[in-house]
Amino acid sequence: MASVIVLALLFPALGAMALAWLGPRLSHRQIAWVGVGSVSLAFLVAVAAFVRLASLPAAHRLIQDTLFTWNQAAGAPIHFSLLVDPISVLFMLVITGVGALIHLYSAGYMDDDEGFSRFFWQMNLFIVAMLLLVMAGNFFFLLVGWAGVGLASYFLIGFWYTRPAAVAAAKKAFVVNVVGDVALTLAIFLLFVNLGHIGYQTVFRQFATLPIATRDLVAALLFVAAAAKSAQFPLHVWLPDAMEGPTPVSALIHAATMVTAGVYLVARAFPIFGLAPGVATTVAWVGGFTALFAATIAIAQDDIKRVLAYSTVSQLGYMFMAVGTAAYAAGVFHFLTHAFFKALLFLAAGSVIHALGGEQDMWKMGGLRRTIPLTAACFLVGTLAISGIPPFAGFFSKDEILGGLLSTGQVGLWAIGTLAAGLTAFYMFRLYFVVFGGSARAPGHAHESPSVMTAPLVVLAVLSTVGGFLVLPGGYNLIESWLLPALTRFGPTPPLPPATNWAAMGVSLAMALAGGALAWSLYGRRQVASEPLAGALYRALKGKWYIDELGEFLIVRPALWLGAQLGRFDRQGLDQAFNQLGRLVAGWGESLRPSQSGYVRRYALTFALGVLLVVAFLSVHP
Amino acid sequence: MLVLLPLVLLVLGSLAAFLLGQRPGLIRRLALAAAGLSLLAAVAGIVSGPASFSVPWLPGLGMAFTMRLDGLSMFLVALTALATVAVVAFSSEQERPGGYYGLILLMAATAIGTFLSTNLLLFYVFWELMIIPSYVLIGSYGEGAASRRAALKFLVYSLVPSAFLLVAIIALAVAAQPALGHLSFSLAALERVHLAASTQNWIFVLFALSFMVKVPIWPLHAWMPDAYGESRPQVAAMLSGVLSKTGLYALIRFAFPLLPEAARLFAPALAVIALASILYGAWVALGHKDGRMVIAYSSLSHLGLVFLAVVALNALGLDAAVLQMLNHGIYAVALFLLFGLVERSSGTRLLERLGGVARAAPLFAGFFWITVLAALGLPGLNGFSGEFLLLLAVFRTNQVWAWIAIAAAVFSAAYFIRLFQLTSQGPSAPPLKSKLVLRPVQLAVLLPMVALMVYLGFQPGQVTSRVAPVAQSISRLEARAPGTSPVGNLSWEASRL
Repeated sequence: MASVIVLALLFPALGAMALAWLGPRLSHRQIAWVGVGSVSLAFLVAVAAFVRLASLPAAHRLIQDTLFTWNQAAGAPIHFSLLVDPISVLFMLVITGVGALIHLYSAGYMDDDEGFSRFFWQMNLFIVAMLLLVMAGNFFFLLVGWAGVGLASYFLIGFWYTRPAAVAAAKKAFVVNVVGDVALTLAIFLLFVNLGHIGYQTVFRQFATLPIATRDLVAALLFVAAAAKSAQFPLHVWLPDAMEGPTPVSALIHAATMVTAGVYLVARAFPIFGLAPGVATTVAWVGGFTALFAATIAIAQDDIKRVLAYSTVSQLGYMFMAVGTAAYAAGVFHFLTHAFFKALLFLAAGSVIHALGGEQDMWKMGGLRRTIPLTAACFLVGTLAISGIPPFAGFFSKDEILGGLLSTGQVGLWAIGTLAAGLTAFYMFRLYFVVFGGSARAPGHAHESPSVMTAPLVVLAVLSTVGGFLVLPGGYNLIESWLLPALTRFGPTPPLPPATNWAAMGVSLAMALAGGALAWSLYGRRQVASEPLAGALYRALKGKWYIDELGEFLIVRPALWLGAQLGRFDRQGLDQAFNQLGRLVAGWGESLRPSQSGYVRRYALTFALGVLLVVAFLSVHP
Repeated sequence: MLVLLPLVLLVLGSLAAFLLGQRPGLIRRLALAAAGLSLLAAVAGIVSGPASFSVPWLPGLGMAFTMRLDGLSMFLVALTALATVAVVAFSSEQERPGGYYGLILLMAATAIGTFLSTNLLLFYVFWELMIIPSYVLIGSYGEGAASRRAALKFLVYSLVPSAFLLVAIIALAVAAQPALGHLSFSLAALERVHLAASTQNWIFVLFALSFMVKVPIWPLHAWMPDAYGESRPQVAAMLSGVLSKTGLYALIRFAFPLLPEAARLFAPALAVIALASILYGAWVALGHKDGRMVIAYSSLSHLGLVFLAVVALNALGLDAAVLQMLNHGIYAVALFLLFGLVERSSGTRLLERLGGVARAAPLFAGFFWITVLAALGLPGLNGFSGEFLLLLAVFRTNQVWAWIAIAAAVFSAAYFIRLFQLTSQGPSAPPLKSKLVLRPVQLAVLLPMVALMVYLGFQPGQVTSRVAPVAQSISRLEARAPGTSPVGNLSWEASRL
């Protein structure tokens, strides 16, 4: 079994290489077969790994494989090792399963794009990097995957590289992600220097031996890395801009998988966060703040993809609230359901954009429920799921998180999460009513997408409907029982989640219904031509609380300004200083030999003096 | 003899180029053959392992023709040969081809000489000889008056420190003479001598200054923008890819083992200078309008990191420094040469006037892109292997240095992405003056270079395991307790003089 898991990496890697090399010579059909096929094969490997793990006794659910040694100059060898356990196998299943569906959808969505083969090899490359990220057996190869997904994300955000906005967004995403890479690298250094190892097993077993300050620092650095990748405040700024990429990219990378890498990291490194309670609390509060903050912005966005992007930031905040309060199973559960319903929402939005010939402004849409009914139905399922309406998937996973918060006494976080849940329902139903309800706001005829695109929508809609039943109120919890052996392997056992909190469930459901009702009264009851909300607060929300401008003003501009100043100083100040020095020496030289001029002769003089000096030395020491 | 072979082949090639003069096609092929054979010999040298070569030469002066091929030098010799192959493959000199190719080969030969010599006087001879081809190539094969000025500046910045270096070398031998019983410039002999701290200190300062100018390290880099900017991209590639390494190499080979206590004393100060180099270079590169200067200042920053790891004074730092010198050599040469193609076909180096090359020349953009990724330290490519180990080494010695130095990684990403995007992407391709095509010989060179970037990204151990024995022995010398009684007290004589 051990070496079989390598195939999960190998299939998409071969797919990427084949398409990068031969792509331009293949037909679209062939490219799609290779692209979708390689990810589907990886999915089969993930399923096999899952079945294998399930067949093992609970305490031994671990598949490990070491392929080669990267380097041993640093003392302890750094191996290329893979580790698949209950945590990583769930991520593998989602990455390859949802990934295969999105690849299939892309075969239709990207069909008339001239970069068809480039799109597929870059998507395959992303799958490889993402799988490496979750399958790595040590922090070093986690970092390799971590940076690899950043690269694939850069490629795909800037896929339409002749568009200035896409190019700028790609660069922004890359640079913000490098901030995370740097933090992760520093955490690795701290572990390496203090423990002598960076393999998960060894690190987790020995982490308790470190002094408290070091533990906190490692955890904090890991969280900075997680926040950059998972777009948590204030490092969220790159994700909305990343919507410049093709919509399947937004669905796969910027909703379902890559942006959850931070959640994976915190869940993976749970023994570290367990021993750094202060940092873990910070994680939860940053998550809570981000959940609410991003939800407020989503209210005022007009671009269908931007609404979904801020909603992703907000939902990621929920996941961090969960993992920050040691409710790892709840966090992973929400990752799972979110992957279903957010991929569904993005792909449905893509279907809308496709139907309208590239239109993304929701105020130029309307009445689409009649012209593209299947897409509309799927979008509605996604909206119900994310809003937390039972029996759709989001209800159960969000309730797991909120109920857990209330039961463990995190009343403040619970209140924030519940408020954000209401806002979520409001902005999602606003989107649904404006886009699909009423009548058309712009001329033109929308047509339903081809079945290669709608089939994945239907599958994801089904998953978004039934995916929540993995966990039911009353103690039935498949996720928990699946993850628990992995979560108890090292050090302190995370606290068991409390029994279902019916009060929390009732309040959040009421909030969701209130949000939906408010949206109906504003946008659904009758046709509205444009945004009825206005005022200073609305403008602040629409301006995304001006965080981008603030970052531009406080970081980007000063950095570039200083760069320009240093550049000027380099060619004028510093250079002149040395020239002055040269002139000084020259002046001295000319006083000795007035006929000389020019650098070379000035040098010759210096040289002669030097030789004289040496000869003098030699004469002193015969 | 395998030790000498790369050097001899290059010298022969160079002589033939000078003699055969005026037939561009023939001389180019001849230079390519000489450089290629030299590369083969260098690779054979890596495979067959450490070796040395010595014949007496002016024994009365303590001079001998002593050369040592070991972990420290073998990769730099191979890098020099590889860079030469690449530079020749990317050259198409029509006027005065004999001089051009002859000087390129001579430049490489003298650099290899400095990498191999383990007699300080012999090293100095090569160090000085190296200046001549560089000076002529910058001045006479550049563009007009500016290039001649740049060459003159290069000359001054090379020769003045060289004079210091000569003084330091002679003083070192003289100071060691009482302990050895005879005058010797042999590294092996001098390593056994333990000099008084005060003597070590001022000799070390002279050594360090001369070597740092060559790299260059801030603030001694004022010659660099002119020399890299006014010369041809091929010459800039040689300067940045190869010649910059001679300074770092000499610091590791000579300054540290011979003057260990001084090295320890000055390390913190040098670290501050290294950090200044790293950040300063990165910051200037961040906003530079001229694409070639972005690459030049990135070198200032990246080699500053190598310098920092070297002065971190641990075995891992020295080991990783050699790895990263090789890595930087590969990607810097590729960057200068590839950007050189853009310069030629579009007639400008100003980034704001470039763009859209990816559409016109996708294959070129692919190579450029991978090289940029290697340079900005993407995990899986060679730049990262070196950067990671360097920073880890620095982290072991001083965490604060590492925290500051690693910030440059963010800059690196920003300016290299910017360089790539402004060159290759963007809305419209400005009309190219000439087509940007990679010739077969250029492809034949680029493919192995890119393969090396990937290979060294995954198997850096192939380099570090060979460097490790030398790195450990040098760092042991470094840590050596002052046991033997100090001899010589030149500082007093120095002040009297």
